[in-house]
Amino acid sequence: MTEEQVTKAILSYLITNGWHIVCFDFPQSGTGRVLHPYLAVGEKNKGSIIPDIVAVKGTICVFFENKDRFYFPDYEKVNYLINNDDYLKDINLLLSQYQVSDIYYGIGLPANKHSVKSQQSTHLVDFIVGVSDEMSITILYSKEQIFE
Amino acid sequence: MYRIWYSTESFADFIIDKTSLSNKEVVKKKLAESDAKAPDDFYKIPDHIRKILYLDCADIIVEKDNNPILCIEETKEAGTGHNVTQRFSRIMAALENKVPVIYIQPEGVIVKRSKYGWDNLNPFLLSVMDRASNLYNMPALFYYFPSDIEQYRANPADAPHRDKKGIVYDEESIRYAGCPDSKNISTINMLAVIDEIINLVEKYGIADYKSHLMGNRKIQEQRAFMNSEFVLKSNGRNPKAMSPATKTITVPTNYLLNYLSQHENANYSIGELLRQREETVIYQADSTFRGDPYAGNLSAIDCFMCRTGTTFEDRDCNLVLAFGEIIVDHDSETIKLVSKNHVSINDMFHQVQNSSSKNLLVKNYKELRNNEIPRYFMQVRYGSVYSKNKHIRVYSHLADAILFEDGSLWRDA
Repeated sequence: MTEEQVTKAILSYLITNGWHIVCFDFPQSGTGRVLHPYLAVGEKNKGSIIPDIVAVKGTICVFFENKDRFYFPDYEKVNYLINNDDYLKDINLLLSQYQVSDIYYGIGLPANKHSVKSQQSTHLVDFIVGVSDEMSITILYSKEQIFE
Repeated sequence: MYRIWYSTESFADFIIDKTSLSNKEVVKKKLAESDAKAPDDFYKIPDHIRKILYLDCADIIVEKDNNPILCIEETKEAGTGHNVTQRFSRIMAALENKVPVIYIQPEGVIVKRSKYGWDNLNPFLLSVMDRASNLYNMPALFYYFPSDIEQYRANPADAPHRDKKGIVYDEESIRYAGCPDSKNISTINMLAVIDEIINLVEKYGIADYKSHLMGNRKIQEQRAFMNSEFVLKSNGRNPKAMSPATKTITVPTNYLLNYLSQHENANYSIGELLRQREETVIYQADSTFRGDPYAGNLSAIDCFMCRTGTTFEDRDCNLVLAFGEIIVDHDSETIKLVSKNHVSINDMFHQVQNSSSKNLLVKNYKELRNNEIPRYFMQVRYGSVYSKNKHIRVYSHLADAILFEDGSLWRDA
């Protein structure tokens, strides 16, 4: 399963369940939105990120980092986003048309890649969403009832 | 049977579903970019596809019965300035293998600086693609990726797709994520030409369809459109006055030979290749040692200013890449190279050395895992052709010489 297939399966699930897709990206799609951190003068584009999915439902917003495998740096990256507000200015701009009160950051991956290491890393993220070989979705971990 | 090799599955699905391929027996297969980028998969790519990837990797390759019949390249990036020919190596590689090419890029992309504006396509691309078609006697067709520019040229802030940089994607956004709007006339024309090429393949067979491409009416119409767009967008400027051609300097070859003579001694003198051509075109890349956009630009400059035929030997002037600014010294009939970034030849050597980490050729048979054996066998045949990174491949394949302030590489034959 490719990262593109993971992202598309999650997009389908979100749309079916009433989420509005703000933006999405997968390798070479060229569709993503670049978010810049607060930077000192001369640090242009340093540390920019492109979320794989940003979706909104009511007052809740979810940010996804997706991969075709377990990739620990993504869990660290998500944890950084949860605990720091470097990107808040660009995120607020991105979500300016929505009435968002809570933002959750998590992971999308093939369900069979939610390994022991992935399970041991749940404390770093708000949620983990798995995609099966049949492209069905399983909420593997959710800190709160985000997708209920 | 048709096989669609793809970088993004969305675009493969789009091309299959929206053309007569939807009525054919088709399988999809993901492309592995190179042995450097995808060592676990690249050796599984068939040789006839691998040959098209020797410089860079295309987005789509359409294959019929193990014969590539069409390459398609698309981007939504703004083709401004010298970025416009960043992907030209992919076009060249396809044409060199006698495969027609379609390239899609927006006419403009909305950017916000102090206010919203359009970053417009540099028309140099249209000119060099036409030159490539003529050179290889094979279509290299350009189509606009749909955007709001035609209706909102003067007022980009009001463009309906402003939040997507003015780019118009297909409505069925998930299956065809990132694909061009299929209702746009440019996309409709592109899909019609793909159908036309498939019809020619079906009608004349793999052996003969290519001889019917350049005379095909739809292909000629698109080439005429490209030429009219070039005239319209260039405002009378010669393509030589456009980037990246503006970063070239043409010197008598004896100036280059005098510069390289520092490497000659009693036992060695520069060989015949450089001496055969009276003039030398030098492309000045005043940056750190890297690939984009310089690798693609070198290909485009080769096609536009040096080539007289289909291989890199067919040139009427030498093609040289210089990392820095060239200063011509007419009094001494030589050149000087000044690099404000102090790019060293060691930067290139280090990257080449790093490529050797992908090399299995130094291993013994017993050290190879089973899946490494066919990869080893590929490397025995091709050496490190596919194991170096993209720009090293392009520079070393195309340039007759590469100049750094502290060293040079050149070809003797």
